[in-house]
Amino acid sequence: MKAKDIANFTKTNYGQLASHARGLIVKDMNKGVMQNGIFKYKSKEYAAKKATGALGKFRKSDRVTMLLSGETARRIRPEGKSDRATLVFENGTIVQANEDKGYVIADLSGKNRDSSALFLQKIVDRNVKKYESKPITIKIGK
Amino acid sequence: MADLDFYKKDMEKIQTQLLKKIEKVLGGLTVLDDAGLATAFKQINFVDELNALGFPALLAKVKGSYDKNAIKSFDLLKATQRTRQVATAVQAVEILSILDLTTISAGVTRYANELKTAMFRGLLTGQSAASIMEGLTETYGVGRALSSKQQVALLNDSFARFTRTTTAKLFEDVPEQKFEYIGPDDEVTRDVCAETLALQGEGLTADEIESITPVSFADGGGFNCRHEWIPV
Repeated sequence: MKAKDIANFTKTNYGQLASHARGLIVKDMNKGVMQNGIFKYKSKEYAAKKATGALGKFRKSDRVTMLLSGETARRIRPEGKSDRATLVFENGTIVQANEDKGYVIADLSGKNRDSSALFLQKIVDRNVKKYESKPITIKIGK
Repeated sequence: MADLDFYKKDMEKIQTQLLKKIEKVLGGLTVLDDAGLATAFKQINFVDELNALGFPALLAKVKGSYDKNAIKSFDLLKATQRTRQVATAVQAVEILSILDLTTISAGVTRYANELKTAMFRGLLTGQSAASIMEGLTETYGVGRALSSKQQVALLNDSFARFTRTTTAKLFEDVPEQKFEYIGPDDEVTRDVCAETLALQGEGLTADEIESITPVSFADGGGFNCRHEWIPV
């Protein structure tokens, strides 16, 4: 690796970053945290029904999780492009409909943005280590 | 929202159309002698029929292209610097996706062959067309076999495993990467998943996951598991 490549990110690196960001979103969903805050269900009846498992296999009921079958979370696909990390929300209709109601998952909260920046820094640190691990031969004299 | 709602609906439509076609054909087949039935057995191919009824289109939907117009993308970060292209992990993920679709296709081929066998078994044993249809509808009709709850659960599980394997593949060259096990901890959580949620601490490497925990990276706690490993 050359020194100029230390801060160059590969498609795989971007894929890893996207995977990390997806994980943060899904982890938050499991805790009942949307990327724009925490919301309680408006209908107590709905929350009670959800807790029974009648609406899907995810039962957490006190907050909006956007998790029933888990398909919306599972269909957040991390993609590493040559110049960027992308999250594709394949259940786009559902994600958009919830966003219209004020429940956002297709974004990153401030905390998660910071975490993603740190994750990228870890990739740079790994590259630095790779660079440092290569011996440099210095020729002295003839 | 039901699990993969579109799959169940579309598959039920295909099953209904296929059974209607079979009902039409049965009338003609019941008058054939054994030699005629043997010839017909060779000629009839329900896999082709399923393809004609739109099964490939359903596969395309399953792959994710069904919702192209509604897909929402979110760019995390854009880099202006030139990048070196190493796409190995990305290519491997593509291959995994194809393998999952192959599994679904194999299930459909088996369904088509079983349906054909059941139909000809009825014909050869002299059952009436109505009786054969009743049996076929009972075993292979709407809500059965390919559109059964079990099949949808299988498909769902296949997607979940795909998601977990994708993560593992992306980080296979980074052995020091740690992962956190996330998912619900409620009354239906398996003991192995609850145990893993409790023991993971600040996260575990892929090697530690396989050696220390009672779950695995790709399968989680087992069939239909709601948990997954996320990179931290």
